[in-house]
Amino acid sequence: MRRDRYSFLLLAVLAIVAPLVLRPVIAAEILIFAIVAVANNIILGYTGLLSFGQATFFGVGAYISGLMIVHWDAPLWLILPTAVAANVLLAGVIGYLCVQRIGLYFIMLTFAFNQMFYFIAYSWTTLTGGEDGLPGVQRPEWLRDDLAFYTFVAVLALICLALMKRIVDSPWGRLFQAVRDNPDRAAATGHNVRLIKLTSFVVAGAFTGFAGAVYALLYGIVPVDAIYWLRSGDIVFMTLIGGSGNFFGPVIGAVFFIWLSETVSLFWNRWPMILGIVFALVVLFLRGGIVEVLARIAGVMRRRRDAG
Amino acid sequence: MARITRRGFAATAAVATGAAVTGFPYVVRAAEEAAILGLWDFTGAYADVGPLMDVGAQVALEQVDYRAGDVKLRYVTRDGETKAGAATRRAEEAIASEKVGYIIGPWSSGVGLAVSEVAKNNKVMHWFSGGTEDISGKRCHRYGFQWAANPWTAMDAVLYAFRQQNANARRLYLFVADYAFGWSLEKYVGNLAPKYGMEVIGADRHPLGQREFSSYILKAAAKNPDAVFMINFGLDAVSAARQLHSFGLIPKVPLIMSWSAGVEELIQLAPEIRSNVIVGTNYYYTADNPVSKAFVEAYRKKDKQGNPPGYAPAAAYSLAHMTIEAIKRAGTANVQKAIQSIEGAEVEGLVGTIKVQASNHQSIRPYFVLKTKTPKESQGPLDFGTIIHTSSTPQPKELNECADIGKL
Repeated sequence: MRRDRYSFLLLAVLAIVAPLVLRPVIAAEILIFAIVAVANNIILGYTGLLSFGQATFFGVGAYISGLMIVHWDAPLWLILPTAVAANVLLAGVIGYLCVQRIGLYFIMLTFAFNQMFYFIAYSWTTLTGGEDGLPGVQRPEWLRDDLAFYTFVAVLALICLALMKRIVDSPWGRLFQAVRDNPDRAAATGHNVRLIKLTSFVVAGAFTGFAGAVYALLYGIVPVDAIYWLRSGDIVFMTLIGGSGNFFGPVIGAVFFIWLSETVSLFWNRWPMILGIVFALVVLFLRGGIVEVLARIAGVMRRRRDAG
Repeated sequence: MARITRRGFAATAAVATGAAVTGFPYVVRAAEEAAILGLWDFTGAYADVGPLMDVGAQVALEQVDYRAGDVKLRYVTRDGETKAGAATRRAEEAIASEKVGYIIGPWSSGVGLAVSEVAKNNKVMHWFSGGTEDISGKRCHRYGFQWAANPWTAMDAVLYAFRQQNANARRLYLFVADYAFGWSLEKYVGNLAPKYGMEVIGADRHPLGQREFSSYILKAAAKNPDAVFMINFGLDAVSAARQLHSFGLIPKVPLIMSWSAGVEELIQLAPEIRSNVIVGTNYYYTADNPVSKAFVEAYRKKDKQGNPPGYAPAAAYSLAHMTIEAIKRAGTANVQKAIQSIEGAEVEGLVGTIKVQASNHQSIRPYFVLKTKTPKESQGPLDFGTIIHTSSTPQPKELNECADIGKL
């Protein structure tokens, strides 16, 4: 518990420092994807379900936010809860259908729903703008300044992470891990395994949709690739590279993913190969992701200190 | 410590004043720099054209020795990834870290429109060349400029030229890429065909990335058209043309590749497949003007195979060329002044005279229509066709959706 408090404190300090070293909108994007990656880890790391369709919720959240601003100039206090409520409903329906199957079939169902919603967004041009995206998503006056917007996102991100931490540490959240570790035993002790999986899926969908709603405000446009399956792949990548065995791992994954792609792409046009190699190395040798690297380094230092 | 005499002080002050009045402003002017961002797709769906576009832009900058009048030009590139999210992030980053005031690219319309929003928000000049009408239509703004011909101009030119070549043709069958831009062109063809005594007898919409066209071809053949009119692009168009030939429909029936086909596509088609094709394009390398000739010569030296430039590198060249021209005319790196200097201006560019409409920032420039050559007519593997028509007819005002270009 104390370690978690320190971790949150460290995160808050880094959030304050971030706009000093990064452009505020890029720092805000990192935090938005940190929410998404941690939400994904609730189903992947805590419940043991691999979803290749989280972009569905991210995109739907972004479109809801964008449409409410473009057509009704709706206030944020209405937009953000609406995006969450819509994604709870959507994740409830999609999740209900997906948790009827396990393993590869679960993954393929999430992927299929993602593709379905992508093609709806792509084809329904009068609503979403199709391939050209949905433009004109103006931030409210008090968030026009990039630093003000970043501060807003940073506060929301810390609140979201704290809420998700509270959920996974609750007795209900412990059931996610029970289902991950041994679904048969969880069922034998009287728990409804499908319902637990579904609630995990809905929690992740709600936070992902929330992040999508905030993302729409970032650059003033909702691009169709917000709902494309490659976005789902990026989210899985961030989660695994950071470390799915640790609550804060995906935050590190989001930072690493965006930082690496921004930095390496400056020097080499074929930079995705680096991402591929890093991903392969992590899967082969570092199943705990960057968090495991940090833990190993800390372990070595501790042993040296003890020996000294 | 040396004493400062009154005479010495007066002399120093006079020299300093003289320098300030004459020399120093020159130093300041000479040091003025404009950073241009080439936002190309080095990865993602259009990774094949990104490097070519980079070369095209480099040629334009090298020709002026990285100077636009007194303004020094600095060229930086970023990978747009063919993704709006990544491209907007990279543009934001480059604006902040490289002090970019001018953006050229990317290639995809959807990504270009997203970048256009970034340009507007950051007050950065943005030149784009692509299919979307919205850059100079309903999403127009003072910072965004469209170099490609308007799709209405393009369809009008292609239909006119086709009619000139095929006086008895009446019935057109359309293959349409199923997305907003494809529908927009389909609508224009439907509206314009009667003007030239033709009609659309059928249209099949296919998804982007379609590689299997046999079902569409059988439907088209059953309707007995006078021409197959394709509103699709890149590999979709190449695949469709190959299969139309396999089914024996072309070259018996003429094929029309209506939008921005060119060297990249034609080089992928065997000579017998492309022997009876009408090609609409924003640029063809035999364009007869000094800017184009100089560009083709410089580009072929840079290309590893010595190939002539297609539409993608030509577009990048011209985006850079128009940006340089704007800065040169303004005489300063100031973005707002550069925009004002190019609005309503006429530029002798890659495709001939290009007029930049002040009301919507659409370039009024020639659109090219080629008639491909048969294997016997062709004088080499890169001799694809002859320019049979060019048209700069602007889109009628009532069809343009740019209600207000806005303020700087």
